[in-house]
Amino acid sequence: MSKDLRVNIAGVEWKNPITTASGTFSARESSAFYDLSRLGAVTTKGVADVPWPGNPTPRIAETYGGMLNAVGLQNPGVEAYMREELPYLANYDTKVIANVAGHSIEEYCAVVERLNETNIDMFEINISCPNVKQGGIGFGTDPGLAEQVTRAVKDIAKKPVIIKLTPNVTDITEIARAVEAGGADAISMINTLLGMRIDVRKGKLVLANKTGGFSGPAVKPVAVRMVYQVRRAVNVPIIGLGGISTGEDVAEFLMAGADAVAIGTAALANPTAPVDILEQFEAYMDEMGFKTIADVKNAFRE
Amino acid sequence: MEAKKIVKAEIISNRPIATNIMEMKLQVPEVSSLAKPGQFVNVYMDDKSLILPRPISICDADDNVLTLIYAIVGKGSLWMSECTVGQEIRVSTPMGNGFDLSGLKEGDTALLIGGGIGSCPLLKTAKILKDKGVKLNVAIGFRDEPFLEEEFKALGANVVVATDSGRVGYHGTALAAAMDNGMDCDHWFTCGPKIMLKFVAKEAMARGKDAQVSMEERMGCGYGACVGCVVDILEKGAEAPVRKKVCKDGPVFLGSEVFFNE
Repeated sequence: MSKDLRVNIAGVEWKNPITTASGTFSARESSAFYDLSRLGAVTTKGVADVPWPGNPTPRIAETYGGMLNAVGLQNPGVEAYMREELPYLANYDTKVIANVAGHSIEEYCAVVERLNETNIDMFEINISCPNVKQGGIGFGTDPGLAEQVTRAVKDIAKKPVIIKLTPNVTDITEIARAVEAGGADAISMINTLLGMRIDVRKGKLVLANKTGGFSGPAVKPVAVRMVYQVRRAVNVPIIGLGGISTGEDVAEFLMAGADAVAIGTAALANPTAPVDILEQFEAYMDEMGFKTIADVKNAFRE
Repeated sequence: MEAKKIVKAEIISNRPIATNIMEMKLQVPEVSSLAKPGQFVNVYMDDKSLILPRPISICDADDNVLTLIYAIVGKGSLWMSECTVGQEIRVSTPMGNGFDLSGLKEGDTALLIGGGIGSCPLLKTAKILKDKGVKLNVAIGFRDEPFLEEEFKALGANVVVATDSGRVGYHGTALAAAMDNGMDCDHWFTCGPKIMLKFVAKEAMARGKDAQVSMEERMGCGYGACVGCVVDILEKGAEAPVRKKVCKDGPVFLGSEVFFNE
């Protein structure tokens, strides 16, 4: 059945509403399993102005229906990203979203400045990493700082800016309104929930960082609820994520108010998840008689 | 980039070989024919509450059959132990770099030191080295109950077994057993707990050798996307160590290049 899966996110047309979630995608490693050109966009791992070593190990712990990670945004820095990741991605027909990490407004801006002249299509500013103490989540939990960093990045960015929100706040709509006021072109949500696990046989915390970001199918209802709330608070497009692992999950986020979705932990559990989920979503659309993404969204009635 | 995939593998046997240690044989030519010693496969769980794959080292492989030996340590490995003959499970094609055996030639000597379940990937390694005409010395250590001793002996290897308890074989570590038995060789290979690898790497260096060490670290995706399993590596000539992925850049590294934290 002929369908039109295209979505327009802040002026950038994606061929379908699926992207990868930052931190769960690596151009070379992911493309060993599937053709990146099948996705609407790919979102690369958080990149900072200089290389970051990340946190000590163990960084990963499985939980019931999910996982904790405390990678701490290990990344090779923007120069290596431009030298190694971007030329590789140029081989694929997909939009590239560069996820940007920083400890300060200056650091975020330094990366944006550097990437302005590259072929990336959009920026995603990570103000929500729970594993990085300064910056990261610090910006994402304070409406004033969230607005400030958004405005600073928007002032210099030559591509649309997505702001990635943390769920670790009392009222996420307050942060969403703040970044919209700061000029955000889109919002992606949710980053991971702050969690912890204890090994009761060893009597020790499982993660070296003590706490980690909780993700995977278990968090999906929280993410759906938050997307629903934020959709009613702001007008900018929303890229929804949080535990999506099936085609029907994609539809659920779209109905909650997302305009596109990102696949994260599912791609760690199954390397081909982004394309498998896309196929499942297309089958769901066929089954439901939906021809466009708007058809899916409009089928939601309260 | 070499294409990788997840394939279905039929279980042709799954049996205990020691307490809480299982040997699983899989009919899966797509994987076994590609396997190199020291590589691992990701085993995917049927239970959707266990979302991450279990990385299991390749113990042995021929054109058709992949042999995995695993310890029952948690829910995932418990599920594997309950799988039955004829059942299909999902496994990845081989992951990681494996041991580099290219520099070994006929008449060379090799010392293989294994700790517990870490002894398993050394079996395939020993088979390939035997075919090259390399003389094999094997030291394997366990808490209390050894396994794989006969398999190594069947290759004509000089084998010593050590246990922490002293109940069987040498009372102490595999490394101490090897050194007390004069097993120093031209080439060293090791796999096991990090603390053991550290001492093996040091001992090899003290003797002017550089051990190839197969590192273990808690993994997430097992294919290089999540950057969960890292180890600090100082490559020759480099000024500062870099964090490399155990699943993708390893699991085998040169002992002289690994920064051990323990």
